[in-house]
Amino acid sequence: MNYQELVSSRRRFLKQALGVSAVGMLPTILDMQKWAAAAPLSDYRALVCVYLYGGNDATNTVVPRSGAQQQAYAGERGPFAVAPGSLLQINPISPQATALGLHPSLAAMQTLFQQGKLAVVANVGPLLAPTTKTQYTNNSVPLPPNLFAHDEQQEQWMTSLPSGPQAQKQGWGGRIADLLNSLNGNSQVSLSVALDGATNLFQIGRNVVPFQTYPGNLPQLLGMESWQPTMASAITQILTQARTNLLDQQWNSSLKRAVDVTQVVSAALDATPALTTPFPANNWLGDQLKMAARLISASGALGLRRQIFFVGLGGFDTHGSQLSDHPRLLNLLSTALGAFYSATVELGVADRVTTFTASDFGRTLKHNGEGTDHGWGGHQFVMGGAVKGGDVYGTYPVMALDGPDDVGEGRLLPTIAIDEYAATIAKWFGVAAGDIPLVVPNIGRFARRDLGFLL
Amino acid sequence: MNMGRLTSASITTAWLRMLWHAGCLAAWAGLWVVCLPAHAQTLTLTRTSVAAGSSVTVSWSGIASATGTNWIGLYTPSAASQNHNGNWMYVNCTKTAGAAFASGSCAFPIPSGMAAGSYELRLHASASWTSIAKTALTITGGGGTGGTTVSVAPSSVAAGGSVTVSWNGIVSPTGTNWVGLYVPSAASQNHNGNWMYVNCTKTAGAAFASGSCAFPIPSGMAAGSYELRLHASASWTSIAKTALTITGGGGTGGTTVSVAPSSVAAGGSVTVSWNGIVSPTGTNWVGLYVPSAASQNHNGNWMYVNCTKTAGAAFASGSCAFPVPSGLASGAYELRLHASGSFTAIAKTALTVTGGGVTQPTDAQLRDAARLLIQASYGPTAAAVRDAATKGPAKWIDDQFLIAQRSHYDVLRAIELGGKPLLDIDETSLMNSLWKQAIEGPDQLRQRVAFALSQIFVVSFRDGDLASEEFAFGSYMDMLGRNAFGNFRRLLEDVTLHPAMGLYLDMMRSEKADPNSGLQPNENFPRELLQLFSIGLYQMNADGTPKLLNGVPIPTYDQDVVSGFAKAFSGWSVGTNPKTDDGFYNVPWPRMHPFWTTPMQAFPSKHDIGAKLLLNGVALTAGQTAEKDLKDALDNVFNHPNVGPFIGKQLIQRLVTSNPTPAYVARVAAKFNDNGVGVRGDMKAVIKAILLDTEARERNSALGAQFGKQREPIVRLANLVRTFKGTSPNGQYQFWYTQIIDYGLGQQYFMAPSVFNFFAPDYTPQGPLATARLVAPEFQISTDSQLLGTSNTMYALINWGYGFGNNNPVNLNYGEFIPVANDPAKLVDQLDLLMTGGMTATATRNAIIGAVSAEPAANAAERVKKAVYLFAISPDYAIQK
Repeated sequence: MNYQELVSSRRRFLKQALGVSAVGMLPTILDMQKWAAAAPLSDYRALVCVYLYGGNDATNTVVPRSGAQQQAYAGERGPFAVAPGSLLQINPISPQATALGLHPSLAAMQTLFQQGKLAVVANVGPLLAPTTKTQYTNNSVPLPPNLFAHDEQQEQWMTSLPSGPQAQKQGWGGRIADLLNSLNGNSQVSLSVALDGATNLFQIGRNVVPFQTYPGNLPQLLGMESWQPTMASAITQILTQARTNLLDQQWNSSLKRAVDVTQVVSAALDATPALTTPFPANNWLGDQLKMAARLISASGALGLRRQIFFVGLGGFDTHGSQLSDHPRLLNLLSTALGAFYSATVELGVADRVTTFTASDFGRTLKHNGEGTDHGWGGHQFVMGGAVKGGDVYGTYPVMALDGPDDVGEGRLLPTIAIDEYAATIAKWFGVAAGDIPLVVPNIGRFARRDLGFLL
Repeated sequence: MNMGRLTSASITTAWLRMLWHAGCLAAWAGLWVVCLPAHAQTLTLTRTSVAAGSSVTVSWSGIASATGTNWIGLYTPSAASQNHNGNWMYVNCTKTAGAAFASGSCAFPIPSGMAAGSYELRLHASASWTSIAKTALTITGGGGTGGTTVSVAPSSVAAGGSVTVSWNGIVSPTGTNWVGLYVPSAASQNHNGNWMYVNCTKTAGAAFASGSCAFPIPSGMAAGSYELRLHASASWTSIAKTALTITGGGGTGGTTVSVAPSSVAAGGSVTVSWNGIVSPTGTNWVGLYVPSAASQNHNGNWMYVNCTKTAGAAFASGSCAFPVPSGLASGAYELRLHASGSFTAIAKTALTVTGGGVTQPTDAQLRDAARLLIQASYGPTAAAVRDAATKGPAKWIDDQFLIAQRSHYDVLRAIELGGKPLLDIDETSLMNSLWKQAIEGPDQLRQRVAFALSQIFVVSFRDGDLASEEFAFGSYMDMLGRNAFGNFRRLLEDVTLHPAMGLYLDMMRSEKADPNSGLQPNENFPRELLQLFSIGLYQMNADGTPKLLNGVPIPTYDQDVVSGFAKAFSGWSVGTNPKTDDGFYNVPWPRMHPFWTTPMQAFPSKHDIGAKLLLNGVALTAGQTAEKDLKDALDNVFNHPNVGPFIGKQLIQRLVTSNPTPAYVARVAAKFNDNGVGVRGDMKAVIKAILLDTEARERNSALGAQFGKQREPIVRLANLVRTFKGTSPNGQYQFWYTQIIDYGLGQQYFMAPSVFNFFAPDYTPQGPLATARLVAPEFQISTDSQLLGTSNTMYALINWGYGFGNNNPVNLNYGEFIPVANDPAKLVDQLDLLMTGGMTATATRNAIIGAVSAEPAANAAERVKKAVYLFAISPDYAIQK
């Protein structure tokens, strides 16, 4: 028996021992019977943030299909331009100045767009105030610091706030969670779940601490099994002792919470029927979204009326190898989103789950011979039954160096602020109109609190 | 953040092999194929007919792009180049690659067993099977057993010793050729068990036409004349023999013991080795004595042949580290090897102890030594703590500076030269080497600093260009280790020009702007050089705090500066390519030696020769060469006042504490700026400043509420293996895939998700640290699942053994602690010293003592395992202080 099998057998043992065990906060058999029958609560809503790490090349994602815009794009992008004939045509409900297509790797998303379940939000990015090209050139409005740097723009995307070395680091997802957490009653499981195996700033709030896990079977702490009660009790003693050192306190609270919450979530998942919707194989994003669907399925059992999921996909920093990497990544994105939407239909919650993308930045219209460099504004997708899909929100930028949307080498000056994008999503999720500034503190500087892409 | 791993299997292997054999190099980025043009290489011989057993002079000339791995082999005309049967050499006339020779000559030996006939010598392309020239050769007089020889060295040996028997030229060798030891008149049947197959064992294995074995001479053997005979396959027919004289035979005279070094300071340690114990058992033992003492008077200075005080396996020969107590008076001593479970000495060797009379280190010194080793090594062992406590921290560091570096790249290269095809070598070989050095290497400080540097100057397997390039990381880690005790300016340059970094952050092949095509120099490397590798985003005071202007931090650079550096760094590409347009654009694949060990080179026509804006308003004038621009740009970065506090603080965070006081940072930065004799960037001075600072060393400082750092998972695992002397059946530590979360650590060497490393220096988790505005970088990977997965990995290692691959787990050895397991408090105190440097809180101590006491005293090993695991998950261990 190898280690993997041993861990899994321990876990089976733990499952079998449920109900007769005195360990920690495990639910009783009665709870589990209740859970097995529970569906999502009637006022349930979920948000899914799909974060594309590295800066998705939005210009090659939503692409001019014909006319002068297409010619200007092809002229600058050279060998990195997507051929117009290969683009997947979309026909937005609203009239557009630029005829658009999706990258040929986005077939499932094209279908969702045409079905009205997916929308494009054009040229979104971090801003401190509405900014025109002239204001940018004259430096007459404040600009976010350290534009075009990965971690800084990631932080701006996740917090909606320009940072600095001493900034308070909370994400707008975390602030939404703090505001709506009371809807989840006393549930032991966090409103916020990160599924990419990493921590993220988006979900950090003042009070709500995200459950940070990854797809698959959840590990239980070895040593806590009911067959070794003195070990389990010594572990609990160690992890619950009072400490003065702050790092010690952090370690104990983090590990203790992981032990307790994982037990509860694992038991709830075991009691929830399996999904039948197929998800794409060898697709890390698909794996995470499948786990999100399973957790949505268990939300009623866990007593959750609101959930915010964070899923991530890396590799979008295509300075090099763009021609091979970017189509592969977009295919992962499209097939994963397509399967996830179908899963929400299967669970009967398609109109109560809204999925949206975010990414560090778009990329330069100019290329460097291998790929493209860091930009600023980029296009995002919003998906779900509550989305007023089949349309493009905002204005597709002008493809011209030194044009009205270019601040150098084809870096796009955003025409929609992250604050506006976030406020629209927060409102749909149930944040009261008066509380929107608590989610996006700078929203007062912008005219629009609702871009209209959600019902 | 998935790996998107490219493996050799994702390429049609047959297609690749075909290209490779045809002398073609496949390149990524469009998959074009470069075939080497035919060059006028020649290969000639001084004479074209030669007798087997003699040699012939082979000469060559005109190798284009000659390297040290061009090589020559001897073949029958129809043979594939793989079938050299060991008859080959590099162009330096040896089997170890050396200098490149476009033309030259070597004496090429023709084995005596070679059959007569037509042969040819072939000259090959660098490290490949592709022959680029050949010449015919006739071998005469070969065949028969006349050419088979056997020899022995030394030709005279004491009974109980061992000789090396070598043979050559076995015709039609098989795995059942064998060697036996005889008196000259004896029939071959009468070997008395003194024989072996040509694979040096009594189990038939591979065939060897030539080779050598260590051949043991039993200690009971009578003195006299003997002979060693080589036999035909599975037969009593001897085909060659050689004479051997055995001396001093009979009785225990053949048993020897030796010690190295033969002089040692009290408090140090020596290696005692023995050989030829007749009828060895697990209770043979070694003791330390003044020469006149009876063997009973060992004063506790003894061990069994398994190197512990608990009898274990028998060893007829072997060696142990033997500690010499620090309290021992200086003078002449001897180490005695004893018969099984008795006070009868069967061999002895002299040992001089110096510096005696030194007092034992105090408990406080031992605790500080353990803390130093937790900060500056991959973990304490009992012997290392004694050693460091005796030396004191400054001397320990000085001694560490002197220890030679060992190469990871050479380990990989040896596997390749041993015959494993380049594309069949994978990252497991690199991980074996990295973990082995971390756990076993004597140069612990260098390795911890190099690991820290690898988390600042990040390159990662999780990148399409480097996904299956273990040689890249072997070379890169060697480069970091080389610079760990060097100068930061050189480190910056070596990082900048290393091909692994060139591919990772795209400086390789970055070229000057082309207004027609929209092309511009790649900004990836220059941006991260500034933000992550040297100065950071904001201007700093000398103590690392941000400079403020109207309450707002001041940026160190803007987009124009990034563009300036991108231009300054344009025009660099593969160092092993010709300086042509093709050489600039075509990155070869597979990337054969010496691709990864050759820095990038400048291609003048691809370099932007305009003026460039750098930091602090400095501008490079137009018209400079690529080399001059690179030098000036790196000098500009190196001399920025942020570098000392920016790099100094991160090294403090990697080694000592997450939240150093500004004063501590300032003291370290001052040493970076000037090592005391006017040198900037002296890494040794910086390391000493970090580790010898009162904030790092004083126990009172360590007791503070903000002091310490999470021991990162790789270090946490390595600490356990070192402290508890983990071993595996094959001697490797197969911690291959620890980047996975559930059965790993969520961390592995060179597996960071991006150039931002596994964690950022300013990461703060929600909770008490955020409220106090403190940081805890390592907590960035401490997700719920990683906390559980890593703890479970420790549980597996402690209780069952841990490692990837078949049947080769690393098991910990608790022998040192079993004797005190009957006293739970004493056990916990011993573990406290080694695992936390004596920093364990009372509540933790009591909880562990309670759990240990609940286990019956008879289950001593279980008691130790429980205690070690409870330490491993406790804040006292996980947060080093």
